[in-house]
Amino acid sequence: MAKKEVAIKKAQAQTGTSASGVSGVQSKKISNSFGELFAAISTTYNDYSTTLTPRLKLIDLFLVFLVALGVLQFVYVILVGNFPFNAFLGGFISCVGQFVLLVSLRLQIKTPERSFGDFIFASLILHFVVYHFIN
Amino acid sequence: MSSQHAPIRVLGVNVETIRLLLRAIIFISIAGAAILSRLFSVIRFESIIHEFDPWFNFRATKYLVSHSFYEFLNWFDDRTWYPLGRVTGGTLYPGLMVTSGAIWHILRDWLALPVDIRNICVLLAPAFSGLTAICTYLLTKEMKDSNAGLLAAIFMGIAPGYISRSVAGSYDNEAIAITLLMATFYFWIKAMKLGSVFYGTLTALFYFYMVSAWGGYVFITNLIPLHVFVLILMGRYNHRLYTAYTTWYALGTLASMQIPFVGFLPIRSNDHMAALGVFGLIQLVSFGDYVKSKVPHKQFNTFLVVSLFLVTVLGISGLFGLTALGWIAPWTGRFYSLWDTNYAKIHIPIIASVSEHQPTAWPAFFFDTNMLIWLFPAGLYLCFQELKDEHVFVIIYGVLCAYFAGVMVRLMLTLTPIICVSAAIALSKLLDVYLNIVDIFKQEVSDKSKKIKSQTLPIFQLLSKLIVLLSFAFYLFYFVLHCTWVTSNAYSSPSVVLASTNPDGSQLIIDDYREAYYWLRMNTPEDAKVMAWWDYGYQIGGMADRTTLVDNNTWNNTHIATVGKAMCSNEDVAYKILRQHDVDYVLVVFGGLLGYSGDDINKFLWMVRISEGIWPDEVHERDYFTERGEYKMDHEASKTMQDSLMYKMSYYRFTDLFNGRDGIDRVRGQTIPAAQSPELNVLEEAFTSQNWMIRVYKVKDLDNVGRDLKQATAFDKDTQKTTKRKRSVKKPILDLRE
Amino acid sequence: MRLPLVPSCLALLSLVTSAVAGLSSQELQALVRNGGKNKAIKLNDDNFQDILSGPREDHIVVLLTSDSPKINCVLCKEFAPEFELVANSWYEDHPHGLTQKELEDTDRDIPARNVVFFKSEFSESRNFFQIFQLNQIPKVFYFPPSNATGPNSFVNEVSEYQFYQGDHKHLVIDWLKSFTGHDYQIHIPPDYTKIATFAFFTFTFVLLIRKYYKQVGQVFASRLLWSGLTIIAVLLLTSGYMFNQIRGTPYLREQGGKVEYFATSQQSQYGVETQILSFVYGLLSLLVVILLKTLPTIKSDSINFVAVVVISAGIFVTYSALLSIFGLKGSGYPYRFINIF
Repeated sequence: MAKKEVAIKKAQAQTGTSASGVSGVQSKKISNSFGELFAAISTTYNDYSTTLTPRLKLIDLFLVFLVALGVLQFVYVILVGNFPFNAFLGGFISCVGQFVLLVSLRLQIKTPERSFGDFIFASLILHFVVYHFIN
Repeated sequence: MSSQHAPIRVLGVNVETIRLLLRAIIFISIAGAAILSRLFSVIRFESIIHEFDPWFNFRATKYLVSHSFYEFLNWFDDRTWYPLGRVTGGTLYPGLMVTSGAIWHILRDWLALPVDIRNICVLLAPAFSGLTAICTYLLTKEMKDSNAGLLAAIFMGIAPGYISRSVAGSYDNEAIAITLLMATFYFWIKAMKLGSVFYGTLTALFYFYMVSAWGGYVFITNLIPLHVFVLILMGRYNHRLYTAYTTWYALGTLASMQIPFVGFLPIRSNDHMAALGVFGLIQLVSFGDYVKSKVPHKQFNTFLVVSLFLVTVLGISGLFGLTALGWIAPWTGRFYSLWDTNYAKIHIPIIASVSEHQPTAWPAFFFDTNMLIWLFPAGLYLCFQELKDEHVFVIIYGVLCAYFAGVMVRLMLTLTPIICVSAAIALSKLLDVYLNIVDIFKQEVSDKSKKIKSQTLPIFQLLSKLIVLLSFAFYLFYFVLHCTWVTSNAYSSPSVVLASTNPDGSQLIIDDYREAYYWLRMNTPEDAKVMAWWDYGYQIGGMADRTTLVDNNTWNNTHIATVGKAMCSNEDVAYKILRQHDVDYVLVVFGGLLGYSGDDINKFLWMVRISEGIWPDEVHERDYFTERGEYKMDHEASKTMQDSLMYKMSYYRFTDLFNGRDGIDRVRGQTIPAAQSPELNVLEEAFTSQNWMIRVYKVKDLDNVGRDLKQATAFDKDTQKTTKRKRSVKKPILDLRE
Repeated sequence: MRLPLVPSCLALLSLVTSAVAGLSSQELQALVRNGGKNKAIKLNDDNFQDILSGPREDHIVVLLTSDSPKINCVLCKEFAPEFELVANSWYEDHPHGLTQKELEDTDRDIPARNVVFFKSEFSESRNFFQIFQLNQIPKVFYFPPSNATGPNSFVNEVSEYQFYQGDHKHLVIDWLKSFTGHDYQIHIPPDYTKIATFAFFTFTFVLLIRKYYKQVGQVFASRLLWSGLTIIAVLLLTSGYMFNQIRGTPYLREQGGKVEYFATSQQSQYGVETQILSFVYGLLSLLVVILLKTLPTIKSDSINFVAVVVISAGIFVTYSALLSIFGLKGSGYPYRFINIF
């Protein structure tokens, strides 16, 4: 989530600067809508920080870690090349897979036992397949 | 409701127990019916592998059980596609072979049952059809209730559309793929309804099994994302959907890449891009959903519009960029042939030549599903009435598959399950309404207590229910008759062995194929290379165990075209090709004597077309027609036709059968003039089967004295004249039942 | 041919029929220029002697074809537009024939001459077709420049185009190139009307959506609309609609005054069958839906009973009809309820 917020902010910043050159009324309208956008995001963020529990915080930290790991691998591939393509794919997909599984867990936080069991089961299979994939 | 009361008891047994017992009995009967109706061919003929592709699967399975699993995956087959060979382990879907191999090992090692692997292969499809019925039950139960589920299960068990690909002996990928298709869809619906990671994982696992078993897995890869996409469009996004879809996609994609034949396709080919796109979309939607729950409505709208715009632009440019860079493969040919229906006809003669890729005329739909075809729209209508998330799935599946089945005959197979489900929904709804006679009497009792006057039985109500029920029972009875008739008449022929009737009505088995293949096996050197049209490649490999040039895998169009060119060129050109490819024997199928219409002369135009695609300068389709543009073999046949190797091999000595008078080709109903009887110089007849269906020719070696082969033949003929033995040719007396 | 015969062309022709010898290159060019938009000029019984009987200065290419429904020549209909495209493209590059400079070019293997394209319709040129004793069309004939005189001398000078598989435009061009030595370009005229209509409709569409945003949203969310579309699509698709599209089957067939509605083979069908079958399936579905949706809402027992009887009878009769139709398709199908056909 955090990554996306950052990404979207970035995107806004870019479009915001490029839109500033357009004629008066339009730019005002656009900046207005962007203002609302920022407001929306800040409201969300405030709400997020108030409802944060230690357990959720743990999950979110893990999410951020996974995103960072995924980005790192991607940067490596762009800079160095994708020679062991299997290994890259395995690593990257394990990040993505673990990420979505965590998000699913986070969404189902109301029934912790069951969803945690499911989560463990799915993660085990995921990592078994990844292990098989990277040889 | 009943849980609040004391459990209802019938004869002192809990009604739920009775229900369970009944259900178990019904299941066993359904599975029994499904399996038994697929055994016609075993009873009529014998336990034998059918048709063409199954022979390859059988051969691969035999290899698997006699070698280790790793050897199987690394199998390089040098006995096909001579001289190229084929990386068989990396170019097949191993699911089928591994399944039957595993069953064989379990039976032998654990249960100590020494079963022949052939019998497992023959009976695998019927056994899995029983499982399919159960999966269909589960799927339909999610759609309506267990009553509809039971109906769907029995429909699925005996619907000819599915039987066509799963009779005993038809040991093909589809035999287990449909079971897996149903199982995957069941777990998907379950996962989507419950939002469970567990079921999502199961969906992914069965998806993996499906990928390992059949190329048609692409259908699931696109149908599930489409379902999710439509649900999002309908504004039905929720956490459960996110959980189910992302779990399935992440695990399923990764798992599917473990199959060597699939490889990196899931992230490269455009066929799989829809799934990836929806995966990205659902991340955004879930984020949007999160924001929406926190901020006021108006603010959210602006947020939505701006981010939608950005995402669309980024997505489209990304797709174009990647395709332009060549990172993702262009859409594959088979995919095109589904959307642009003229594509295959123009660009890929090899696809157009396969009868399974032809469009479907309406009788095929009715033939394969009978009354279900008209209950199908009614079921869809009922789905629209309720329109829960899972009903959207049925609707999308139904429409898409109706289209695909219309374009390609073989996709009838994927349409049949949804027709069964949908028809079962409609019919069970009807039975719910009209089978419920409890209400009438209940009403009656309550009425009685108020007014004793109305003592008459509800005769009209009872009668109307009876009429509907009886008429539908009658239709269902007919449905069973229809299915049995179709299965026994149309789908139970092994096509390796043919049946015909003698004039006195007794059955006659025509076993020319196996006769010829066995001859090859016993009378030719083990490393002999046999050239035949690709249809017979797998059978020659499986039954004769000889090296072939091309087979049903059709991966190398040029090689097929080479064989086609050899068949349609004159002897000199053909001989060059034969020598270049070390061909020892040439095999042709000739139905002219027997009236067997699936012979090589009838397939000949495809050979011409395919080789014309590669050598447009040397082969011209027009040359094989008569002046008036007709496809004829009699005295009007064009010069090119009469010179072609195929014509010569088919009609060589044909007129000898008619004691020097004109021969009659019973497939094409044309006379072959005795004067036109072809002469062969570069080949010599090696074997002709009992009914002349298979003719095998040996390629002559270069002449010892360095003569032209033509001169050599002429010389031999002269010397033979003096000491000519009369060749006795027995003419079989029989008619082929078509 | 899509254009009607251009009157001016006719007038011109009637003027020149009096001439005895073949037309000169200039006359032919004039003929082309006055011939209207389509540059493959009509060749018929009135003018073929004038144009073809020698001596001829130009390369002459004639397409012998027919678009009459009686002959029903599929290849003709496919081929004629491509031939016209080649002709029109040639005249777009050489609106006044070859220039003097090109004509005097001596480096070429084949002397440069103009090329003139003709199209001959069977119904207007029976005598012309008779001369060649054709029993098959389409044909493309090429007549080289020649000094031979006398009527029908051209018959012996003809070369024929072979209809091989492939893209006919380019095959024709290659074939012509081998005789004339010219290079031919293909100019596919942009279809302005199509673009304009498309633009117009897109524009109106967007405008309408903007204006009636709410209503459009309602329509799109309408369950009735979607269920209707879905069911119609399914009915058409399961009754062989795609088969007709792909195979281009005839609507029905008339044989000896008898109209045949059903093709007597399991593997084929006519266009009308799709309509009949989708109607039958639709009717049966509708009756079932009525049976399970509408009838239980009827309160009165007797009315309900009558309705059930009527609907059940309807299903029975329609289903019998369906079985009978299926029986017509051959294959010895043994099951019928009542024999309707």
